[in-house]
Amino acid sequence: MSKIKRGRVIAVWLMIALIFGVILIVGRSLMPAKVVATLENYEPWETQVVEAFSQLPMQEGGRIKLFESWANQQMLSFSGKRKSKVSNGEGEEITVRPTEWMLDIHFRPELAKQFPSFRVENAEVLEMVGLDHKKARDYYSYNELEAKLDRISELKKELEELQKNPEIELNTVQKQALALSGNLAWFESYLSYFDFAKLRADNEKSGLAWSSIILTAPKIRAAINQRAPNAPLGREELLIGRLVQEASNAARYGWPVMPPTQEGQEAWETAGARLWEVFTTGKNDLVQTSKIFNQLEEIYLHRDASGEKLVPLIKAYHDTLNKEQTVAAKASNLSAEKSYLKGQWFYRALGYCFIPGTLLVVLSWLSPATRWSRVLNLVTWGLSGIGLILCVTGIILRMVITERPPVGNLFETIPFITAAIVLIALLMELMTRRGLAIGLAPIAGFAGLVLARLYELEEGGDSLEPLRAVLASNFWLTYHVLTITLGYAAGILAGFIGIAYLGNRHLGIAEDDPKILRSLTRMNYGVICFTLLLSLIGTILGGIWANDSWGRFWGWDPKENGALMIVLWNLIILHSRIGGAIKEWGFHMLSVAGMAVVVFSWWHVNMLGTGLHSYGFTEGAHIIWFFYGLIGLVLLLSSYAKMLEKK
Amino acid sequence: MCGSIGKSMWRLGVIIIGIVSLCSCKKREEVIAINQTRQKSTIDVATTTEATSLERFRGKKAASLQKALPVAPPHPEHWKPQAATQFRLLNFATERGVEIYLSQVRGGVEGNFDRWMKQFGQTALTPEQFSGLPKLSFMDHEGRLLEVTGPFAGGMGKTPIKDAALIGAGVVIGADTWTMKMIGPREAVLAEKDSFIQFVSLLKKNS
Amino acid sequence: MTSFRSILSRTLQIFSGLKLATACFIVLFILTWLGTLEQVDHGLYQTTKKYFSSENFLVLPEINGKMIPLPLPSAYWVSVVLFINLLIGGVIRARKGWKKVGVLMSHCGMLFLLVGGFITHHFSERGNMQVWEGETSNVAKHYFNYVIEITELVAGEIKEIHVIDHEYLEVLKPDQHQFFKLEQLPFDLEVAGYQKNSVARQAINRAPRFGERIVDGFYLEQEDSELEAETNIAGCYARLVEKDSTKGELFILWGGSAYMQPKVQKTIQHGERTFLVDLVKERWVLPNKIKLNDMKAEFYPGTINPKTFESRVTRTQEGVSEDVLIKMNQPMRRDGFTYFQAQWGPQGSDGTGKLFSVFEIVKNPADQWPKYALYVSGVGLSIHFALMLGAFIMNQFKRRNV
Repeated sequence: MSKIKRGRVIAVWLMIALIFGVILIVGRSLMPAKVVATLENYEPWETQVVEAFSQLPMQEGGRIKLFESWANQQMLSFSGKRKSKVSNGEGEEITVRPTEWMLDIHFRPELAKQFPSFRVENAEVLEMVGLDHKKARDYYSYNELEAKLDRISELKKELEELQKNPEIELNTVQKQALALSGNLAWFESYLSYFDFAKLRADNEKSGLAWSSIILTAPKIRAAINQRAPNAPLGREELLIGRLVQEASNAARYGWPVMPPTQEGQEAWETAGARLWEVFTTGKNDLVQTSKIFNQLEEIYLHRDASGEKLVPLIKAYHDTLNKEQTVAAKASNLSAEKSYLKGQWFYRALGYCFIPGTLLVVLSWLSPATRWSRVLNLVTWGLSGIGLILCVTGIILRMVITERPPVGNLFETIPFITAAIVLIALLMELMTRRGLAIGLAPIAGFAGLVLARLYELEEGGDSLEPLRAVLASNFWLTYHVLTITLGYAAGILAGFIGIAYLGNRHLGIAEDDPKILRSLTRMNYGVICFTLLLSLIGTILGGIWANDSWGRFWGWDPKENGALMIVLWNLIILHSRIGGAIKEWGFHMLSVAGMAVVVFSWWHVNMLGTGLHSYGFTEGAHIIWFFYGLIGLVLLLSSYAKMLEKK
Repeated sequence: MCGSIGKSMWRLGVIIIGIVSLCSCKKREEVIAINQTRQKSTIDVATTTEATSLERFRGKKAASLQKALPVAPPHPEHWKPQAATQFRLLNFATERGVEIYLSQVRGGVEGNFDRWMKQFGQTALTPEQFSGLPKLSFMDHEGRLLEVTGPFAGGMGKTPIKDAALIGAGVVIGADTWTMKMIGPREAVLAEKDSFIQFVSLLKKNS
Repeated sequence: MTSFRSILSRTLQIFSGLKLATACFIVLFILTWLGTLEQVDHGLYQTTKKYFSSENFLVLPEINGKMIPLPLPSAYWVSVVLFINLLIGGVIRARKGWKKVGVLMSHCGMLFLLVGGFITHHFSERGNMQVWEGETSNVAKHYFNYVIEITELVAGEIKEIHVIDHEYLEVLKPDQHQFFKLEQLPFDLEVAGYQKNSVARQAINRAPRFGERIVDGFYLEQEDSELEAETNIAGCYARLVEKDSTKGELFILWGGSAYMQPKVQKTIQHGERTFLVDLVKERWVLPNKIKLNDMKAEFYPGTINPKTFESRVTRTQEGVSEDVLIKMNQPMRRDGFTYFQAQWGPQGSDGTGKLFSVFEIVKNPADQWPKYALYVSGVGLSIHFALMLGAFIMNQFKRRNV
């Protein structure tokens, strides 16, 4: 085997090793769950019922969203998954998605208690709550944890006490224990949420139900108010008081089912909160409240009925909500959210386009500049193009949902940057037609969307949540945030081109075309200039924004510093090239290192836990170090190869 | 060529360092004359009364509470002072979880002792039992000392302790009842008993 | 004479060289990086002061609290060098021509930005003003600087306020005494034991550990500087000195007194006359009055996420009033002063009840300069980039047609 061919094989193996490395490190959280439990007689929900529930609107976290969104968030934060599998005891595997899981908890609590809903990642957490630790990253059901509830609530108290001390920061184990106890409390509120409907279920003949008692609330309140001042409450009064309290407490937290009926009120309420208000302050529209209670009771009564019976009941409630002003105003946002959830755009772009695209690119390295590789390139082109379209569709739908520019939080930077890199790579391929830039598109898409998925799973939460006051400026979000983010994208692309150059040079993938190295250099020069342009303008724009919102142009905040570092790094590259201090090889080496600078600015400064931009992804440190390590390895290997060249 | 550039660099360096060191060597003067004034602003409203140090550093409210405070002797090194509150005029804690604090309360010594007994799930003291309690000097008056052990039921936002102890002293001076108590895990509390009694008996009433 | 000229021209050569530019960028890069990491341990204020201000010439960086024996020039001085380099090499001596017009423009923009930074660093002032709804204020407090203010009280009214400036105080070490000759007052003041961050401790709670002087039951205990330096509370011992050099009684001045409600001040009787003495954050009296008419804080429904907060104020200057809305991202700029919506309170409020608003007030002669710098350099870089891209595409096109 000639030296050159050996180089190609090495490149292919390196790439395959990298892909497997990524899958090994992050794959566990990306793979769909295995069967985790056996639930005897588990009956899956009918598709039409799930569909009807998932599209119910609700207001939560400050925005109107779909039930499915809420269920997604909840399942993610409880179990770190988007779906689970259970066996029904007869060897049948049933996939349970978030909406179904939520329905089980609300309508079949006894079944839901057996469902392994809680992720307990850490053996130490298990030990803390006094459970036998089978193995780390395990799932537990409510029933399994129930015996330890006392210990857990005790633990919670202790940890909350600790938390009050500003000098103590909880460690990961303690944080997880606290999160577990929080999740358990939420789970319990969901389990008892529909208890209010049991009154009707138990008194079907007499028709006694909260939906009808609500209408008598003014009379009850009047009777109580008519008492002589300071007279003790009578037996009936005490009884009704206790009943109201019990029913409202059981549904106090959880699903906000009640749109506001009071003038000037914007927030939706839970059934329990509304019930309590009706009997205490009494300012709500009773007819509307009773109507919704009635619809919810109907749904509960027919929870086990067939879809034909149940779906119209859900639709009736849905119709009532649709007439609400808060929902009607957001109709187009909700339908965009429906398409966004249904489409799973980023996930599909990854699975259908970028992963196969990456594999094709790797294959094409085996025999470059042949007809075979040209065909592969063409297919890669198509796949990347489709991937880009899917990605952009997802981004646009998010813009419609949130009514703001595409990047408003850390999560949104990921698909945006990914799409930008793929787009620039495709444009460059159009301009150069050398089959070089095209190779970068699917690899960048692959890496970016894996990161996006991982971030979602790690962080949970609602990445569509509305913006905080300081960020709520569409003008600045468009001009500053988009430029700076595009600057990141360009900086990363420069690094990719640098790696491509180094790979080609040392491993001789494209030895047939000597001009290829020069071409890569020219390309990278353009990209570095582009990075400088965007980061410089973006950084100054950020300063101007800061000058308008905080009163200073520059404050040495970590995120600001990160942006400045990108600018300086690119100035170093360009000026040392013009000054002749570096040649081609040095230029690419510095642009690869520049990728680390971008990552420092994009992610690392947020993890320092200081400054004005400190948000999110504190758990992702290991990925960053993996990335730094990778870049260091590339630089080291390349330096070694350069030394060999000289000899 | 190279040499001369190096030389000029060197000279330049000397000049820069010279300038910088001239700039940075400002000597502090022994007497500074002050002529600077500023305009009166909206927040420059005078207070009418003269404020004591206590009022200036703790606020008027806290100061009026503290004025009645007894004069405390030096406390043991391992009693860490905690922020005083309305109910804890002197407040300490040890690393082993013992809380030690002085309160001015209502209800007489006997009433308070009974309340403490109940927190430990025990019945109130009979008059005979009470008069049999050991005596000690507490703010120059004759006070009583109570020692209870057992499970502490908690209450008032405190977490229950299974094997707890309380050592407390109480005294009535004029219309006020004063108590000083120590509560926490049994062994840790008992270990502090001598220091506690010594501290309490050295407390002096503020004149 | 020739040698002087040659030295001059060579010096000029070095100062205008690309190598110096690159070296400046590298040092600035390293400084920015280290200055970011060090914030974790030492807070923004101290780190910024250490790395980026004109006070230090050399910086000894730390990583994870460990000193690195690699002295670096501070960013301020590197920027000065960079400025000279850019002016001589990047503008005056740079090759000119149509192809270079973009680069030249961007260099000019950067020069402008550096000058703006210089002016901001030396000539801008900032402070914050807290106003309750319905109340009026014309004063801002400095974030960090402590001053001693002395004023006479005549029939319950405050007279002229005499100020001992922060620059005299903050250079004092705890073991130093300083005599201040108050030329317009009937006495002088001696200050000792000045501490940048301190706690006034009551001796009955904890005996002094380092032999601190107890005055009136209190002593000052030294504290490490806070990570957020604006929360430092200065303190000092002081005494009156009569004009005939007899010394009065020692007393403590502590910055924490300013936070006590109701207001408390140190009063001094001097013969028949009464004076007030205080150690307070430097006050900055503004040429106009701000009345807060309404403070509105809105949250996203059902959450504690702020949606917006805004203040409706009436600004009065020389008898002329105007109503202005100040909110996040929408400051009020008047006569060289800028008022920003910074915070609101009281803490934990849900936006109902009586609120106060905190405005950040900045006077910066170079306030809008970055914007102009951006226009110049942005256009310049875009032109340059467009020219290069055009050439690149043309080149590709030609190649393909060959």
